[in-house]
Amino acid sequence: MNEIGFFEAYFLWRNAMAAAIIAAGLCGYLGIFIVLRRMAFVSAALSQVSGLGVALSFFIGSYLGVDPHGELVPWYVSPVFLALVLSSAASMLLALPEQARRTHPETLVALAYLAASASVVLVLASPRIVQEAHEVGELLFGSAVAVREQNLVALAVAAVVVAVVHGVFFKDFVFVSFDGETARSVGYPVARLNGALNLTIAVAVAMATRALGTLPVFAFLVLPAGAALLFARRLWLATLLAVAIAVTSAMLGYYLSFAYQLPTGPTMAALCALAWLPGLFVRRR
Amino acid sequence: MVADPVDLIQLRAAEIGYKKPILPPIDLTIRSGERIAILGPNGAGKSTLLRTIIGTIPVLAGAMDYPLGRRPTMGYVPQSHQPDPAFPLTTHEVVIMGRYPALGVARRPRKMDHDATSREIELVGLAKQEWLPFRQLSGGQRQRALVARALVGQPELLVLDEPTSELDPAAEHGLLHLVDKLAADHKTCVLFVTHQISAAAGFAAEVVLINHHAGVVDHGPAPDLLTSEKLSRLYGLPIEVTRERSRTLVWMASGADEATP
Repeated sequence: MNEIGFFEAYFLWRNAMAAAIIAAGLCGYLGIFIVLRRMAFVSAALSQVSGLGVALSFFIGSYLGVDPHGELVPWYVSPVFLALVLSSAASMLLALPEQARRTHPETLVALAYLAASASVVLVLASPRIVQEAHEVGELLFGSAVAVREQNLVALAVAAVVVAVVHGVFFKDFVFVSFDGETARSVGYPVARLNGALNLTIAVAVAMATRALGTLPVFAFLVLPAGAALLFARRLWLATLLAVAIAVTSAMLGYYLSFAYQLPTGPTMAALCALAWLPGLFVRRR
Repeated sequence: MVADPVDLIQLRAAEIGYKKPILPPIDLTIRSGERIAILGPNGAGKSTLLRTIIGTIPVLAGAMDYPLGRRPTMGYVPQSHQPDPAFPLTTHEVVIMGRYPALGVARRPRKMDHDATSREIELVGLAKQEWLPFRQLSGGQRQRALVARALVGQPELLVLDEPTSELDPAAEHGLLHLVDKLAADHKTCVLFVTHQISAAAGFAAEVVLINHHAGVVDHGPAPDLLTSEKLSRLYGLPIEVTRERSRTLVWMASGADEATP
């Protein structure tokens, strides 16, 4: 057990816990669309691409003499900005219509995932960021425990933007996901709605990756929604359940990692996976 | 008093296909209140024509005009496997999607939308299944729910893509009879793609025969086109057609295929 009491160390984990709750809730909610649209590995690719953005910010910062972890970071070196740009571009690429992409969608997803993963390793191996490589690695794999106030605010703003967009277009996103052909036939702007949905996912992934790391973000995007859909017979219930599982896993995971000095991200991901256990014994109709 | 039919869509020397034309140029006018069947073998271009008409793929040459000065309102019934049954949606939640295009800025269904949805569900005979998960419905029930969704917005044109492909003959007859009745109530034009010659003979006044392998595009009144000669040419098989009072009997070379009222 950690020698300092969890609640005594409130000032240490306050921001990180808040970021974990917001990111987990956001990813848990969006996970419903990701699982139902059968795009689980798109979220893996997007979180890797976001991770590449974070790693690149340190790499570019080393040339410019800027510490992306510092207080006054130019926007173009900011890890969040680069993660956002790369994940948005990747989400648009992965949403290309069939005629334009010239290959199967899963091949494109694999390409994005592998290219981003390899690039992260190569960037971290660069002699220019030897000092920061360990810190960046922790950030990407979800072992980092500190979250700056500005990152927390950026994450909260992103969550509000996603909530507003989905508050207005939730039904339309469900319609185009459930039956795109019919939606198109009745005059729905299906490509634009799919683009907007993917963009909200890309924004959430970029922000959450900066706060939590790639592994927990991928876990929050897939596991809570998958578990919730095992139980729930209604979409609203599955959505609430997914958010509840994700937020609970984030809070409990953070507490356990603090108390038993476990890596934070993997602990959260493992707790999300545990939520599947009851589903194996419950038969939904 | 019955209102005169109104032209909804006009194809003029329209060439259709995804990158290059798959059929000779087509001239076709779709009018309100009509029953039009599109017939042809597998891979003939039926769905391509359908998707062109509903506007999901553009015409490659020629023109598709909307004589009303706007796109007619449309309802669409996809093949039953098209909507994803993984979604935990009730029958009501699926059918009300037919009202979404007319929702206001707030994108919230109003009481009138819910009432119209319940009414349409009752009309297709699924009142008891209204709040059951869509995925629990049988194939025939799902198709009826999708018909209700297509009609709940009171469209001017109802388009059905092989609506009876997974149904047994009794369910097929029941579904088409239901569509015919409900569309008549709404004064809706019905355009449907089918493999069932019987369905075309029984429910369509106009027929479009297409087979891009044979370069066939023909359209006109069903009695003129559903003949032994034209159907044999369309399918590349000897097909016999005879008419007895209001029934059309269709016989394949291998024996009796189907008979319709």
